[in-house]
Amino acid sequence: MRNSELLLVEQSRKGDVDAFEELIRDYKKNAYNIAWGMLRNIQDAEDASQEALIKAYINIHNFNMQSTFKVWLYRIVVNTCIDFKRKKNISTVSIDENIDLGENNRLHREIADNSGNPDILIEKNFNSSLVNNAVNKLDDNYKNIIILRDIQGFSYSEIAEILSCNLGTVKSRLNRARKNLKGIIENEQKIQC
Amino acid sequence: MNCNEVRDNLSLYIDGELSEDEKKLMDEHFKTCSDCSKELEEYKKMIKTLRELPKEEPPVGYCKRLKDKLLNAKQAKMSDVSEISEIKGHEKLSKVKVNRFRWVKYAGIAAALVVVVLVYGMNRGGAWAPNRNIAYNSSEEARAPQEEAKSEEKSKIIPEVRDGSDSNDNNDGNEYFASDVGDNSTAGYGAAGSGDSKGPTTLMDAKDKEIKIIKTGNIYSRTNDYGKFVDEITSKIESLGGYIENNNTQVYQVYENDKLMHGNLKIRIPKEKFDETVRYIEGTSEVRSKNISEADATKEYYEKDNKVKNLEAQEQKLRELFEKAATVEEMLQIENELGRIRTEIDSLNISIEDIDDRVSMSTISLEVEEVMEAGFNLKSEEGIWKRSADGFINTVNRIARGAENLVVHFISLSPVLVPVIIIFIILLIKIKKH
Repeated sequence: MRNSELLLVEQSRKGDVDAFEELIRDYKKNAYNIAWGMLRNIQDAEDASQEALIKAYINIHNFNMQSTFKVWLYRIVVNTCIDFKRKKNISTVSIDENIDLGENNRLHREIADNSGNPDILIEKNFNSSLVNNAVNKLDDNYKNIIILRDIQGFSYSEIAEILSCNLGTVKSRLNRARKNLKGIIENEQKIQC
Repeated sequence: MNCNEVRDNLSLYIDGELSEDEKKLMDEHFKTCSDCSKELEEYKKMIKTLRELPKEEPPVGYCKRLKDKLLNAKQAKMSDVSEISEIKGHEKLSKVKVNRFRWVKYAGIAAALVVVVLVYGMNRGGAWAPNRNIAYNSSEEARAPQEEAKSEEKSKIIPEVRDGSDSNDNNDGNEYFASDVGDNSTAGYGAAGSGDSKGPTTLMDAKDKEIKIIKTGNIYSRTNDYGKFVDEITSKIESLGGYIENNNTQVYQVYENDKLMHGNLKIRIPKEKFDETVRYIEGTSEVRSKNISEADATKEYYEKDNKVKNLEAQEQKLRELFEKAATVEEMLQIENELGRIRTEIDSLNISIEDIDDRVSMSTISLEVEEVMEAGFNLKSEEGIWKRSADGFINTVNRIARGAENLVVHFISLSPVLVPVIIIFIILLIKIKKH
């Protein structure tokens, strides 16, 4: 762990909000993204990620320095999102309903956000929205691991820590998640053609 | 390496999580198998797309709102120590709650098991039976009745005692003897002592009627040594001129090596010796209940006696007629009538004799139960500590025995229990998953 991070953790423990903000500066965007990936709703993603960050701030004295702060923080984020989902009792069906709405919004925004060659942009968008949709159709367990590994790019051991499971589970689950994801994508492509 | 194995390892191959040897094998396979290398390319493409998915930008004002919340949290954290623990421990608290809940759940299961063991074991061990310390062995139970069959003695069937007051309306038929039995018996009943009758009665006049009292006793008693008690009482009764009409003995419980016996004895004893016998039983065993009744059979007795006399007179008359009979038909008719009267007389005589028998020989129904010494020890003066120590040891023994029984029954029930438990576990897992 970086020395500067250690210092910030120490200060955060004393209740220094600014230090904590500095500490999470690099992570909060990812935290939001993980939450968004899991919940697929802007408002929920904000609520859940902020709840997780607050939890991290309040419980920072429980951070035992054994793992990195990053992993510890993301574990809180993932668990909070799982709890959040459970509390809101978002069933798969309602997610599907939300996809249409969310997709429209997202597509609109992406086009607005991106700049560059219009042709490449459209092609890329097509692909990414397809893949993105497919990710959302995965079971929660698979979705989480795909988000962590392929979208966020965590290492296997980090994922094992974040999800509180062992390495073997991560390997096999990731393998199955990718297989499922590929199957879904191929299905979607067939429908679209 | 075949294609299936390669496909299973694709994910790890892409992430570089395979060992060198495995990687080499995979590389070799990709050179030869176009399908698999195509699959690999597709995977790589998919993962690349995933990696390049545009990052979501937090909504406008995200950081501001976060800062506000953090400041609120800080206030709460700083201002109240107790509140801190509440908020910070939200996660913890819920865990504690879950833990507590679990504890209750497991404690509940454990308590239920203990109750089952105790109740089951104690019931099997006969803890609620009148006697303490009695274990019950079901294998011995089956043997007991067979032993019984051997030890059972002859039984004599005796018509039931009828209440004398039933037969009031027989007066009409009495031509020769006025029936004033009713007055006599009510007057005599009070005065009737235990031994004022004078032995077996003979036919008598209406003038010196004897009071017929049937004495019966019901005694329930306990003894420490059944065999000895029965032997003693048998010899005593024989010396008094009585006999045991019926002895029905059975093993009702087996405790370790001792069999506990239970018996029903029907004792016939000359009425003069009735009280002596009762006193003897009271002296040699622990009498739990005693019921002595005296039934007055005087009225019934003399009614029957009168009837017999009437019938005999009738018979006499018929015999005279028979002498005078002229035709065969008449003779047959009279003979028929004579036969009927004779049968009636005989049956009445039998019941008269029976009453005589029951008057002269009183009946005692004795129920004897064998108990362990402990049943008697309770009475003796023991220190409270000694008694509670005994009780403690007994309880421990009972629990141990109950546990043994439980194991035996669990194993014998396992063909049913094991599938049930498996189903239960599957259900539990499914519920947990939800």
